[in-house]
Amino acid sequence: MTQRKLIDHAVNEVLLAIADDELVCGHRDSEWCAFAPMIEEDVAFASIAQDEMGHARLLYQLLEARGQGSLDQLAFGRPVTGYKNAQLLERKNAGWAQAIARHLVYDLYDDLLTGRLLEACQLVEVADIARLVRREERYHLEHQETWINHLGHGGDGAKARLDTALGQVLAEAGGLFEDLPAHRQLAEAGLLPGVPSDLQIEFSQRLSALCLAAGLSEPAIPSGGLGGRLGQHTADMSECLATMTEVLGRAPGAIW
Amino acid sequence: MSHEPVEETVYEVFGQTDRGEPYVQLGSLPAADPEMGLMLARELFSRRGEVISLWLVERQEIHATERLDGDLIRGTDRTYRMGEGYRVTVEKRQRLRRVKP
Repeated sequence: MTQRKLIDHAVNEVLLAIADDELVCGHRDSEWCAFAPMIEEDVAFASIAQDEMGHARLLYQLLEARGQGSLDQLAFGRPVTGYKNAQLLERKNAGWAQAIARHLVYDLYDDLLTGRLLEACQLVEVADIARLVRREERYHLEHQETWINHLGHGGDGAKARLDTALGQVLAEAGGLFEDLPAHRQLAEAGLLPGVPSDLQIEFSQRLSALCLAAGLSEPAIPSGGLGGRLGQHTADMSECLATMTEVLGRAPGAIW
Repeated sequence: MSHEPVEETVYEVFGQTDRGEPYVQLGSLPAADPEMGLMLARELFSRRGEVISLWLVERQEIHATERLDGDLIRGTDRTYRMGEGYRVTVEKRQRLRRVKP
């Protein structure tokens, strides 16, 4: 492959990893519809789900423009090993504490990814998408912060449940910061100002500060849950894909 | 484990569609405190980008007239008091804004 082709390939890989994170996160969020603690939160969380899906759409559209297949095919038409999302995001929903803990971890990571790496990258289309996405992600982060502040200072064992959930989430969050060879290639070529693993220190500092303010225990360092970026997934991912593509699979090629 | 319902306040939500426009009531919601209320109001009432600003007002802080107060609806002809011209102020302001760079 020529250098140009190598770089193009690396850009596609990196975009796919970000898009798949957003898609899978959005799907799990959407599963909260009708099950959130109160009806107002039901709408709020579903709205966030739509935001995440929208971000995935922007990125898949960019990949479509780069000749990587159609939007629908990219989102729903790949084998499970073709998805590059972090394993943490595909895990089945397991209670409201897990939902808030996982989303907080993801939003904080996403804030650093878009703010530190993507906005400053030399790929104009990617930087533009990052700026758009960040305007919504700011509110997502505020949403999760509001919740952890309330649960952290709430009664009825809420703090203990959130602490436990955050511990479980962080034990699978290492995969978010996993570098692909593609990340390193782009960083070496000067197109990306760094790689995802560079974000870990600031991530942990900010998470610690948020936990302290919310009265939660000192959070662990993200670890585990590796391999998602390389297409290695848990059984939860197969279930997630099967659910997402259930209708599409019954009538392939149907026009809506 | 006990599951006592959390004490919640009912808030009325008002939104503004543009700078200088009046705040219009959008609906109401119960929330544990104003922080939670504003967060929910943002997702509930501006998720399609309809408003640029939101107000949250505790419902119990609103002082209102009796519902269906017959004396509010007067019988005499009062049309001579109507400042019809003022009704187009909003329109004029919007037109002016469009003309300005």
